[in-house]
This record gives sequence, C-alpha cells and structure tokens, in this order.
Amino acid sequence: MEPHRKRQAIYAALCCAAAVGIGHVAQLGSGTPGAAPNTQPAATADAGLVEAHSLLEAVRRTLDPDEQQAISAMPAAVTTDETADAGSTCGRALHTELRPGALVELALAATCDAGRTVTISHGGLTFEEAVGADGTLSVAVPAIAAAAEFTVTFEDSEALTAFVMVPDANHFDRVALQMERAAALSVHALEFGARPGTSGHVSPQDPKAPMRAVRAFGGFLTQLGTPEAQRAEIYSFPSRTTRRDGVVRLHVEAEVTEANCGRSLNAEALQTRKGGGLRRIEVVVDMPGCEAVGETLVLKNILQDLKIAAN
Amino acid sequence: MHRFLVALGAAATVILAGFPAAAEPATLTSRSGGLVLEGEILGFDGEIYRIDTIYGVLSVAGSEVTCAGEGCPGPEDYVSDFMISGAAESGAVLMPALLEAFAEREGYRITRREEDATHFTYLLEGSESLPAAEVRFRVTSSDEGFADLLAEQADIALSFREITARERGLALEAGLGDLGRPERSGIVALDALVPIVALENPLTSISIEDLAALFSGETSDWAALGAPLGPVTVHARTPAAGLSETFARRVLAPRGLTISPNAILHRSPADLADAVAADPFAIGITTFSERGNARALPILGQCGHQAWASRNTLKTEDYPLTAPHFVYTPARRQPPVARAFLAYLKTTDAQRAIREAGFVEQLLAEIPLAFQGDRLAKAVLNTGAEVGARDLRRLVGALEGGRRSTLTFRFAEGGAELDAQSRANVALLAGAIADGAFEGRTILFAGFSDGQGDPRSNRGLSLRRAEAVRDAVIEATDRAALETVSIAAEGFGETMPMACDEDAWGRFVNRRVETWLRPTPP
Repeated sequence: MEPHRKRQAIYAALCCAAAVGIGHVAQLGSGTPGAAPNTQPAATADAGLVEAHSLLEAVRRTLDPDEQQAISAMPAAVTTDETADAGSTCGRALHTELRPGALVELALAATCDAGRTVTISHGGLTFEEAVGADGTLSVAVPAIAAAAEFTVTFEDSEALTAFVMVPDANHFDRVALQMERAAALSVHALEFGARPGTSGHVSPQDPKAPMRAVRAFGGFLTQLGTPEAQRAEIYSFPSRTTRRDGVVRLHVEAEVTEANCGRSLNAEALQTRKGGGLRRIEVVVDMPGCEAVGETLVLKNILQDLKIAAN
Repeated sequence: MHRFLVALGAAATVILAGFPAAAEPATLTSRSGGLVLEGEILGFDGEIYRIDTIYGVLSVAGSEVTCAGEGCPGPEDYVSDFMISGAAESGAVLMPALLEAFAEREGYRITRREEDATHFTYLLEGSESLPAAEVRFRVTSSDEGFADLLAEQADIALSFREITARERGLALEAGLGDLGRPERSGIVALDALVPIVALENPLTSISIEDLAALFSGETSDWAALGAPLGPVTVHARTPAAGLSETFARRVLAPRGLTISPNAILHRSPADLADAVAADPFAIGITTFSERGNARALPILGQCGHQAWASRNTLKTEDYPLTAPHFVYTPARRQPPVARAFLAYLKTTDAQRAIREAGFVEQLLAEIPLAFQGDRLAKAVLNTGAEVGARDLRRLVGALEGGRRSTLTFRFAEGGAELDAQSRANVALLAGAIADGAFEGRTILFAGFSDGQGDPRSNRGLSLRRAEAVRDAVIEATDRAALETVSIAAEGFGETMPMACDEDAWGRFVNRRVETWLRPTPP
C-alpha cells in the first residue's frame, strides 16, 4: 500500500468522536436527550483505543513536523463503528473519510433523527442539512484548513465532532458565500478569461467535478445545505498545482425575485488568504425595487478575484 | 450572525439623519463652567460634538465639555462616518482590501453593503474601547474624487494622478488647505501604465511612438506594426480617469496627439483588461496591478532596449510609465477611525496587505550587483569616444560588493525637481535609517545622466543631482540616526545607461540617482 492510501485509511479509522459531555466516546451512543449515558464493554473500547493509538503512531512516522504536531493535538479517538450502536437503538455516529479535492465526506448515521435538520459547521462555514428517511446523511465538505474540525449539531443541541488531517487542503484556494434561507445569491467563477456559459465558467448551473481540480484543470463548486435552509456555496481552485497564469474572476449573482425585491439580502463571504488565514466579512446586498423582478444583479467585488501564478 | 447588522445599521442611520432620533435637547458645559451651549446634538464621533445652537451649528471638543440632558449620546452612539471617493484603479480592489485588513487587525467585525455599481459601504462594528465606523466608498475616477473633496462630499480622495494646479487652487479657496503639501497627500502603492494585448496577439513589444499612433487613431491596422492584417481595436479608460490623463500627458500630448474618438472606453481597468483579453485585435492601456488575463507588452526603445514592468522596475522606476496611487486628505479634522486608517496605510502590516491584493508596496528591496549583468554589459558597450575604460573602472570599483536598493530618485520632466515617487522615497529612506535598517553600512548616492551633451559636464550634473538627493535625505533624517550610517555621493555621468538616449523616455530613465549599500570599512 502506498503511503498516501495508507494515511487515508488511517484517518478514516481515527475519525471523529469526542462529543458533548465529559469527553468519553461512550456518550456518543446516547441518542435520546436525558437518557442515561450508555456504557459499553470496557474491553471493546480499550481494544479500539489501543488500535487507534498504534495507528496514530504509524501515521506520525509518515508525516512532516507540522502535520505531526496537528496529529498530536488530536484527542484520542476511536472509530464510531464501535460506539454508536452499542446498547442503544437511537445511536448517533459520525464517520469521516477523505475524498479527492481535499473534501471530507461526513457520513452520519442517526436512526432516530430521520427527517430532522442537523447543523454542520466547519472552519467558519455553517449550513443545515436534513437527515434522510433511512436515518443517514452523507455530505462532502471542502476542508478549509489542513487540520479540519467538523461539528454536527442535532435539533436537541447534542453535537458530534470529528477532527481530520487533510494534507492537501492547502493546495486549494477556497472561496465561500453562505447565506440565510432563500437568499437567491450564487457564486460564479470565470477562469482565465472564460466567457459566461463557456467551459471555464463554474457556477451552480455547471459546478464541475472535484477531479477537475485534482488534475489541476480548473476549479469546482460545492453546494451545501438544502435550499430552504442556511446554505453555502464554495468555489475551490487548485492554486498550488495549477500550471496556468492569470486571473480567476469571481462574482456573485443575485436574482431579483418577488420575495426579495426592495429588500436587503444578508450573506457572509469567507476566503482563504495567500499568506494564510481567512478573510471573513458579512455582506448586505440592497436589492432593486420590484419593477426589476426577473433581472439579475452581478456583484463583482464581494469576492476577491484569484490572481494565479503558476508554480 | 445578522443581529449586529440591524443594530449598527440603526446607529448609522441615526447619525446620518441627525443625532439623536428624537430631537431631545442637550447642554454642553465647559470644564470651567464659563461656557454653556444648549441645543440639539447633531453628531458625536467620540471626540467632537456637533451641536445646533442659536448661534448656528458648532463643533465642540468632547474633552473640553460635559454633556447633560436627554439628547446626550451614549458610548454606543459613537460612529466615525467618512467617505472615500475617487479612482477605480485603487478604489475597487486595493482600498477595500486595506480597509478590511485594518479593521481585522483592530478587531472590528466587518460588513460590506453593496448599494449600486459605484457605491458600497463598510460598517465596522467596534466595542466600548473601539469606536464604530461607517466608511462609504464612491468608486469612479480621479477627477470625481477631487470634485467630491471640493464639494465636501468626500473626506479622502483617491487619485491615479497628481493633483493639478487648478484643483490645488480650488482646494485652497475652499479652505481645504494646500493639497500639494506632503502632509495632505501620500502614495499608497506603486503602479504603472502597461500596454496589453490578448494572448493570441503576435506583438511582443511596442514603442512609445507606435503606442501613440495606435491610441490616437493615426494607425488603425495591425499591418503597420508588422503583424498580420486586421483592424486595431483600442481600449482605454474614461476621460475623467487619472489613467487617461497620465497616458495623454506622457504619451499623446508630447506628439501633439489626442485619444482616438473610436477608442472603446471602460469604467474600470478590470473591465478593460477583460475586453482586451477576449479580442486578439485589441490593444489596451491598463495598470500593472490589473492586467487580468491579457499579456503585458514591454516598451521598446529606439536602440532596441525593452523596458518590462515588474515589481522591481516599478520600485526603481527603471520602467518609464510608472504612476503611483495617491490619497489626498483636506486640512480639516478627520473622524478618529479615518485618522487611524490613514496612519495604518504607512505600516508594515499594510504593505503586506497591499502585496496580497496584487499591488506593489513600497517596502525597500535590494538587488546585488551580480544580478545586474545586463546593465554592466550596457555600460561596457557604451564605452567609446566619450566614455573611457577609466570611467568604467571607477564605476565598477565604487559599486562592487554593493547592493542596489530599489530606492531610486528621478526628476520630473525637464527639471531638477524630484518626481512624486522619488519625493516619497526621501521620506522612506529617512524612516529606514531611523529604524536602523542601514546601521554600519555606507549609503552611496550614485548619480547618472543621459548621454546628451558633453561627458564632462554630464559627470558634473550627475554629481550635483546625487548631492542634492543626499542633502534632502540628510535634511529629512533624525540627527542621532544619521550617526549610525556613512553617506556619500558620486557622479558617474553617462557611464551606465538604462535605456535608449534616442527616446525622451529613455533619457528620463537614464537621468537618475541610485542608492547603493555596502558595509562601511572599519
């Protein structure tokens, strides 16, 4: 097994746990509020911990010092498989797995939460998703930083947290716009002089696949959250691996609708910085009056264009 | 996350509409009790009350008075409200990025409000120790920025050109002070005018003469430049833009030309660059910082020298069409947050933000002699009847082992007066010496001339220019700091030309005082 593949496997195994309460994995098993903390056979948990620690050691040896530090900072975690369903039919479990494009797939199993809304937050992003009728939810979230933390909060305020190392996260510039319910705003990228509607135009209508970025051909757009809920759109561009020079123009389109004409729309812009760190500003868009329904505002300066220099 | 918006929005509206919302009376009493003013408080920015009294609207320093009555503002009502207006060249991307960086460093929560194509506002939510601010932007052109300043609409004007004598006179008349004074104006970032074409366009360089011929419409087919046959589409900024004024003054006017009526005019350099990048038959004139996806062309001199715009050649002004971004502030009291923001623009943190926004900051860089092979080659080729091997030896002897600072001093066309960027360089160098940046080193001001006229008098001329710069820097530098460095001036005449003496712009580039640094021998 080549090193990278091995790491992925280990991260998947190490993912998540350490949620509310006093920090023992066993708490994860209690789905219903007020239920007594679920205890599980000590031997199983210990075996899991021992396994996790030995895996952690194996990972450490393959990492550079920065990554090692980040791993050391992670709380002792075990796989959710062992804890989630132990002794409870209403177990909640969160799995994480790395995906191409420095995405982290969150796989949630919460049998008793079918149809309910969960709030997912990561690195300043916050969006809402609905748990499926079968009690599961799967969503791939772009990692904002290499040491990534994901929190899933349920309607009863219980939360599951996962820490994941995403080694290739810093290969990407991420530009996100998150907005309140029904705000008709969308993120558009015109890559290297592409005209609207051509292949270099990344938008909700043509979001492109993450593999496009992995192959350093261009960026892709991730849409998170359900339309009726708090949602986010994130554009990712492989700035570290691209072989092109130039500018990716970013703009936000706001469609004037019966619902928003003459009003203000609120959103928040998040953008990774070249020098590290995150640009984070709130945005208010004054929509034109209702005579303009059907028109689209093009807002060119909310998001900062990406100036790309090939390596 | 949006709760604060409502609160801050409400506070801002109150200030604009007149504070407080209900016209409650207030009484301002001086500390000694000798002065009592009654009336409605129109505004308070944390320092100054504006009060409507029977004597008219008065401004009163908050530190001198106490406020009593229902109409007195609470600490949550302090809002610094100011407007930044002017050039799209710096107003669209650079200044918002700098305001965001400033606000982030101060610990503000930042909201940007989009109003229309040219207006947006930043709301900075503070805390008790951090006064809130509402910063309004109007992003159009340099002309409009000065007009807004004169109309007292704007508190800070952005310009991509220096103020004109006429605007300076009007500002004096309007009581805004002398905007030509260094304390009223400043350079935020360096930039330049750059000709651009689409990637598919075969042109690899362009002379100033061809540029003038294309933009005036004298030449309208690419075939005249040796490219395949086809009509030229010319893209420029609107006439009110500093970019257009600078281009007309430096490129068109000296040849008695004006911009072609067929030129396609754009409201921002970004729109211009995008239009050119999409059309192989187009040529445009834009800024170095906004080339978009178009390709920049070097300026070709008559002797074959090509001048490329780059971060270093902008700093050294070895590229001929440099043009910095200016801010102008009137001689009136600025709100506290405006003052803090203007002070921030000079910090190292701001220079980092300028660079991150894709602009050229004013941090000093050093270039070793070893990286200047082409310049030395030119100096060698230049030897002949007028410049001998002895001159060359003296030059190399003086510079060997030294490093050239990017700080270079150039003189306004036809005069002995330093240009705007060089005047700012005097202050930068004085500041760097005071900060100990050159401790234990010798600063050599090396004067060079163009090749016109007699070599001996050129040597004398270049020495006098070097001495003038030396004296200006000594004058501007703190006495104690001066003792940590040695300072010298030498004149090398026409020994090391940077560009062609056949071109007016080449002579401008060649007439210069360079700053060289080397360890002071013990």
